[in-house]
Amino acid sequence: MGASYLAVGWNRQKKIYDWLIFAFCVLYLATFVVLTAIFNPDYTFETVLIRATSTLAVIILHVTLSIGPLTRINKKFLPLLYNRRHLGVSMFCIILVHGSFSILQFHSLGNVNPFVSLFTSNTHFGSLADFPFQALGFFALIIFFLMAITSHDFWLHNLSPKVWKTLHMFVYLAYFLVVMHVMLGVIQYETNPVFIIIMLIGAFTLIALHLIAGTREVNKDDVIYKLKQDGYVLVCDVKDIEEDRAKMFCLDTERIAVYKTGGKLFAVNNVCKHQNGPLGEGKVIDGCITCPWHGYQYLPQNGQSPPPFKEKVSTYDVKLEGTHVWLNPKAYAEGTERPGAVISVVNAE
Amino acid sequence: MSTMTVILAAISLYLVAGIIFTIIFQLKGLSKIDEGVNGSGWGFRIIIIPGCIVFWTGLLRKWIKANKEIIDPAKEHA
Amino acid sequence: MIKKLRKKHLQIWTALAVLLPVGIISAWLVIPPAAKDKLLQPASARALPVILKAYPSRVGFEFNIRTNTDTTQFQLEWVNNQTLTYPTATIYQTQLNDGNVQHGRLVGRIEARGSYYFMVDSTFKPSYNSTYQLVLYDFIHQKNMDIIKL
Repeated sequence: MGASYLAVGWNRQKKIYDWLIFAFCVLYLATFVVLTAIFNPDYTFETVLIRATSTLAVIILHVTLSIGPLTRINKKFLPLLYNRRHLGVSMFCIILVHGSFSILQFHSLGNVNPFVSLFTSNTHFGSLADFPFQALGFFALIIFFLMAITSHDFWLHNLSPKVWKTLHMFVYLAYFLVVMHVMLGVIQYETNPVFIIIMLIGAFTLIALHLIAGTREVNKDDVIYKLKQDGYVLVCDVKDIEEDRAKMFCLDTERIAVYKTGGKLFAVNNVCKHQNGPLGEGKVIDGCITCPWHGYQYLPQNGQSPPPFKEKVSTYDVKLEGTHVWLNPKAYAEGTERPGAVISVVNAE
Repeated sequence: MSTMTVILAAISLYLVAGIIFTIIFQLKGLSKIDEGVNGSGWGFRIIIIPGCIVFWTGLLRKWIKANKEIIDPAKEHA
Repeated sequence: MIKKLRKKHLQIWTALAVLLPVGIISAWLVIPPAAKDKLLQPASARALPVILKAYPSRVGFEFNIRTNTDTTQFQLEWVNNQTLTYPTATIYQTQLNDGNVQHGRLVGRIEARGSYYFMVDSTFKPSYNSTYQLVLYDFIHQKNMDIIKL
């Protein structure tokens, strides 16, 4: 937020979140090892470890990818989003174990460099059944690696938000690679239907969640506001906005959040400077608009973060006629103070 | 086979250069490209090491740019 | 999230909604009929009492053809003396001088160090004019590691 960087900005919520991730992983791996020891005692330790970490990683990957659309569908999921990057980094650590042991077991016993062996030992790229599935997993691992090492905010600033966001969008390619790595790998050799069921349920859940949430959001952006006068656009009724909350309107190229707080209406750009979080889906806490994603704060009247922070967002003019809220989509320079619109008793009724 | 070896050697070379860059960058350049680094702790410096090794070319460009601005502050107004 | 990104996310997931089912279903369709993991013998598998023929040991492994007292059952005993340099090995039986495992029969899969026992049919009965051979095949690297005449 403009102050010095910390390795991790620890707080109580993040600690609880991370302990839960850790406890789940340990519990899962222990259960897997014990069950394998009972039902498949002839499996080697390496095989058990490779399988335990791979299934755990697949589960965490599905959870991580479903958090985004879930928060769009129901705000109750927002606490999951808050520390999502720790979930992602944890998953990377788990698949690093999976990848390392797989390369050790399958490619390091020969006299060829393990990485050369990984790519040259099977070159049936034209065949589906014999496709070199290990290469698919390797490329997914590389994508997760690049995401994990750039997960600190330092990289968001220094690679530029555009490059950072593009890099992190590659997670969807990585997900596709993981699905095909499983389908063309273990599922071809295994008779256990658990793997295929997990992959099918996972893929269809994610597709459904993303399509539902995505369509909803894009439709919101495409709403056409017809009533216009003197540059102002009629957007809603003052009663539609709850106290200390906002409604968002996409009049031009980007959403604007209209906040109702302390008997006034204020309009600011919806996009948080930190990671482009939706300010209009947050609320006013301690007199500041607070981003629902990571808690970055802005003053409603001027869009400035309270000192020592330096983030600023654009502000807009908003006015009231009767109970009608009129919004002017012309942006003021970031951090420009605006008077807002006073809600009189007459408006409120 | 030989193509793979060449690619692997090229990647290794890039990463070795990244390691050398990261050592110098952590000592001298880091605080120049981002003011948020001032007052940050060891944990932060360690956590960004892998990224510095991989994305060293981008950081080098930023570092050179930051140096130019310090030498020639008038350029900012041009 | 900004408007452009919201649109891009939706486009990507529309594409994935097609690609993922196509990928999953086509991979499902090409699953080979004899899944290889079934052939890993449990550690409790017992050796038949009589050794019909002991083959000369090779680097890392040796194998014998075993039978019961009235020679009605046959068994391939495979012993990995050390961990093989290719841990995903399978054993195929093919016609003599045909190294292509796709033409042969899958006998079993071997993994770490230890003994493996696979029940086989009478074509494994040792004879000087046997027309069969064993192929040790690494299915991850898709390579014949060794060929031994039966």
